[in-house]
Amino acid sequence: MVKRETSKPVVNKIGNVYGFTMKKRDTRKRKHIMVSWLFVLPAVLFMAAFLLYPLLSALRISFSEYNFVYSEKPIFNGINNYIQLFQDPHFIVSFKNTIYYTLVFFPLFMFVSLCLALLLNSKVRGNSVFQTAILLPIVVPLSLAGIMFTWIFSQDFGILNHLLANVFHLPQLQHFWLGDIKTAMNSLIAVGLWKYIGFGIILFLSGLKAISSDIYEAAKVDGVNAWQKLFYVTLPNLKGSFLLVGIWGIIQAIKVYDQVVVMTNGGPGTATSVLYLYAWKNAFSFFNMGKGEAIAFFTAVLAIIISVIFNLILRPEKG
Amino acid sequence: MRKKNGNKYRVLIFIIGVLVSLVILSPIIWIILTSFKDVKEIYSIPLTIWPRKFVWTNYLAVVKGLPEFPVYFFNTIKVTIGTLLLVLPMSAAAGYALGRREFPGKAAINLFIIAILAIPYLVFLIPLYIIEDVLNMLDTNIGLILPYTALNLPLGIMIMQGAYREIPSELEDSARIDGANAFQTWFQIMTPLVITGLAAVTIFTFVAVWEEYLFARTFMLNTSAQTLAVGLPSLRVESKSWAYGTLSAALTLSLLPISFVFIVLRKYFVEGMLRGSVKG
Amino acid sequence: MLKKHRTIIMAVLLLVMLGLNITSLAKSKTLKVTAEAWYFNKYQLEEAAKRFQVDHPGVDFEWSKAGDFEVAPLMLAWSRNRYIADVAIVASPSEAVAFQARDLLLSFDDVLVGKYAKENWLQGFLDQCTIDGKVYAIPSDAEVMTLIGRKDFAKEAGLTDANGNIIPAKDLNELYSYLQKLTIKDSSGKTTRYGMTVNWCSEYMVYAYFSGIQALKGSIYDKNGNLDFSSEEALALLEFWQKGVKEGLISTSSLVDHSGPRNDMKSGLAAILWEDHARVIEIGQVVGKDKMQIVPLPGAEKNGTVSYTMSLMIPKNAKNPQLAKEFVLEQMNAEWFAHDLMDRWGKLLGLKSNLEARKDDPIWGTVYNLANKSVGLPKTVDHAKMVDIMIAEIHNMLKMQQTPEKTLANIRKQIKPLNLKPIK
Repeated sequence: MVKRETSKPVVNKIGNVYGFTMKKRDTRKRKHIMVSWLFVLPAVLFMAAFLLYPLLSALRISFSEYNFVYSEKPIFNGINNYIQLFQDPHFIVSFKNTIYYTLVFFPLFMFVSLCLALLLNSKVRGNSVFQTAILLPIVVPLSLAGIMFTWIFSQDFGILNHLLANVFHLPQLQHFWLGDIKTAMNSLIAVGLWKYIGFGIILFLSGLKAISSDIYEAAKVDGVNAWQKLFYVTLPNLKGSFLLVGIWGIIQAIKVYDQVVVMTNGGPGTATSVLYLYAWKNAFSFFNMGKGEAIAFFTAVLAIIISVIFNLILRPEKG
Repeated sequence: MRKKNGNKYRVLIFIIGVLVSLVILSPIIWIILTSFKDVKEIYSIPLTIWPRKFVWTNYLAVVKGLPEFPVYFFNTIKVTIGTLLLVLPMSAAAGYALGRREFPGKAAINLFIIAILAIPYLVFLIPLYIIEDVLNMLDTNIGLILPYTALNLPLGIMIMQGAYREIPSELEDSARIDGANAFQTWFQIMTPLVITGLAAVTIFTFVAVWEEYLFARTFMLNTSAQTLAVGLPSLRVESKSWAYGTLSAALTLSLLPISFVFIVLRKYFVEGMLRGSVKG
Repeated sequence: MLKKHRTIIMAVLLLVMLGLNITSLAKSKTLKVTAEAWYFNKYQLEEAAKRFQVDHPGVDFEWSKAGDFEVAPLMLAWSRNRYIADVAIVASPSEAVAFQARDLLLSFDDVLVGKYAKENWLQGFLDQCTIDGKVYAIPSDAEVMTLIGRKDFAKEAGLTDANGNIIPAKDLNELYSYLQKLTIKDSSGKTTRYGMTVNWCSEYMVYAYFSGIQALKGSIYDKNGNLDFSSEEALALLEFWQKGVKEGLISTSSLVDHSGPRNDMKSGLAAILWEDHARVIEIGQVVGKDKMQIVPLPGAEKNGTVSYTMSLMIPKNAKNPQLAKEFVLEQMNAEWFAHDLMDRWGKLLGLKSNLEARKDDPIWGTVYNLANKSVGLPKTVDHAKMVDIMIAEIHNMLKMQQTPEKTLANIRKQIKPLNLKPIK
């Protein structure tokens, strides 16, 4: 077990980066480099074969006309696939839907995760039971959660409508949750939240645990109340966590796919069609690999841009 | 007076905790209750929440009518373990070198890892499909293990890098003075000190593989190679005779083992993720 | 110690690697059949294999179960000459186009003689499996689009004849009045029983739409020979659907749930189902077979309807192609096999004689007449894309986002760049 106080990152003290004396420096240096590369080699080779090569190959496909069934091999066609995207109403809708999903999912995800992390961080009786219950969805595959919720949201046989009408006596709130264009996407967002807040909570919890108790002690001496403590002590110290949870949440939102396939497959109409789904359809239903890959890259760039913007918003305050 | 206030506050938090837990667990509870209902009761209007009579017919139907169920289950386990066996040693080795040693190319590797973490998996899907087709790996467990390993390596390396960096350099120095070579230092001296890091990698990888859907759906078409996350949803779409009773039973059965593991090991699970996320 | 660990890790890795390299050594006389997993539950394939072995001793069978069958992996495998199976059961013969485009399938023409001669098959089904005049697939698991009605509900609403049978509606207006009579609403205006439920989910959207067009005007094509998205019948059909949904007469449960319409029928939430005829068995098992009736779509008795079928295909790289053909014809189209399928699941096979034997049964009698007049959808290169567009646009219309005119215009505009030329 490593003790906390000794566990600060240690920079080599002597300033001798390779950790040996100057004698026979060159051969040793070469050996050091070789050994270092031996350590990273398996992982690097693996990533080169299964990530880097596919990435480059994907880039090439996205600039090619490549129909799985009818073309022998990809034929370069410049940025044609990308141009086509913006003439395709279905793509535009999928783009808008993905943005909508992100805009609704993201703040709710942050807020709910933070609140529940604060709840679980308080030393209240039954904490471990709450923790088990609230974090359990982490291990439920999203696709299986999708089956569960399809049934729960069902118009006639769903428990949600039943509870609204017969337990809470609010029959006017009964709804065809997945069948209505206005509520279908929100229902999918609810499923995404159910599944993912566990991760958000854990990310926030690790931030909360890292705030040293000295700060709270100092605050106590100053006689601040619980709210002041939250707003002037806890939250400002959580900036790093906000950044982490935020970027993580944005990427999860942009890559929404599993529950969409299982629950609505993009319907009704195009109300829940999202980028991932439409890329998949183009590639594996329409066999248009080039366009599928173009959508995939568009999605990747979107995720990176939003993450960077978010990063820029939070970073300056950090100092 | 202070104490009284604190108590009130605690009761309030306790109540909130109970309510939130109930809301989050309710879908699972509902599925479990449904799995014990008779088909007629499931499709009756108005619905019943508590089963009028507990029946086992749905579970029998799963056992008899779905011989693939254990196959899905063991595929999921095989793929998870296979991925872990590859991810753990590779990310430990690479994490050690990146965290504790200086060498040319290090910055490039780190940059690549960060870039990969930001790119949605979807981009890799089509080329990997073509690669797997050429290598004849579609519909095999290894056909999932290899891409899953690749996709989980970047995060694993990041976590391990942080974990190795935490170890004081005195230990490494004294090992070197004792004449240990680099591999011995890594494996015998340093790695036992980063068990928590390895636990974090295990948990993140485990969760990611266990629920992965996109790749499994695309690469695994034969039921003999499918995992739970893909096998069960395809029952609903295609079998045409899988009503929600049997489906709930199948869901309950597939969530049972993993939930049990989670509940028993919850403390280590959360600890591991907490540690992992500090560095990730 | 280090070495020991490394050895263990290496050994484990090697074992994992080996796992994928063990390829089954194919015996010379093994027939391998691949299909989606559910197919093996519905079809008596084990029994068929046993019977086949009696006539052909020494033949072994191997079953390969797929999850959701996509055509792409088969295509890829076969185009790389990788052996997958001797017989593949594939979702729809329109996909045969994809295979034939790369010349990967064997024709059945040489064995379609005598008892199996082409004229002995239900023409609508066989047409769907024919490319350039050659049969490249054998229909299986076929269905015709029709209405299925609840006789007891219809009787209450006064829509039955002296024998208690539902009188088929002559046109959409009459059908609309049926729905008005069959629908029940509570005091708040909420529908508690729908007059009708239509399956508009995934591929069914296309079948439902074109079955309506075929029944109303006797062809699914317009004057120029393209799929019809412009005639007044097309407009009337969409108006009928939209109005029905708006007035609460037609359930929209299928917009997200493939099984929605079936469940509506099973729970008595709807009186008429617009889907394939085979549902009559499944629903009958829950509500009582005597309450069910196949009711032709308005005009279908004269104009026919749309049918669709799965298909049995034999790839060029099959190891035992001749044996595979014999198995497909002798057992998978045997009378016992066909009747078992009809009785338990309501699905049809292609030979006329199997259906003729059941002509006196009121349900199968109607199905026989419809099947005889049914047409299949054309095989086109961009079929999947068209399905996607139709679903999007018609769902939007059913959700009152746009008028039927605008819907048809949108579809016409979006399918313009697609290759929807029927491959004959």
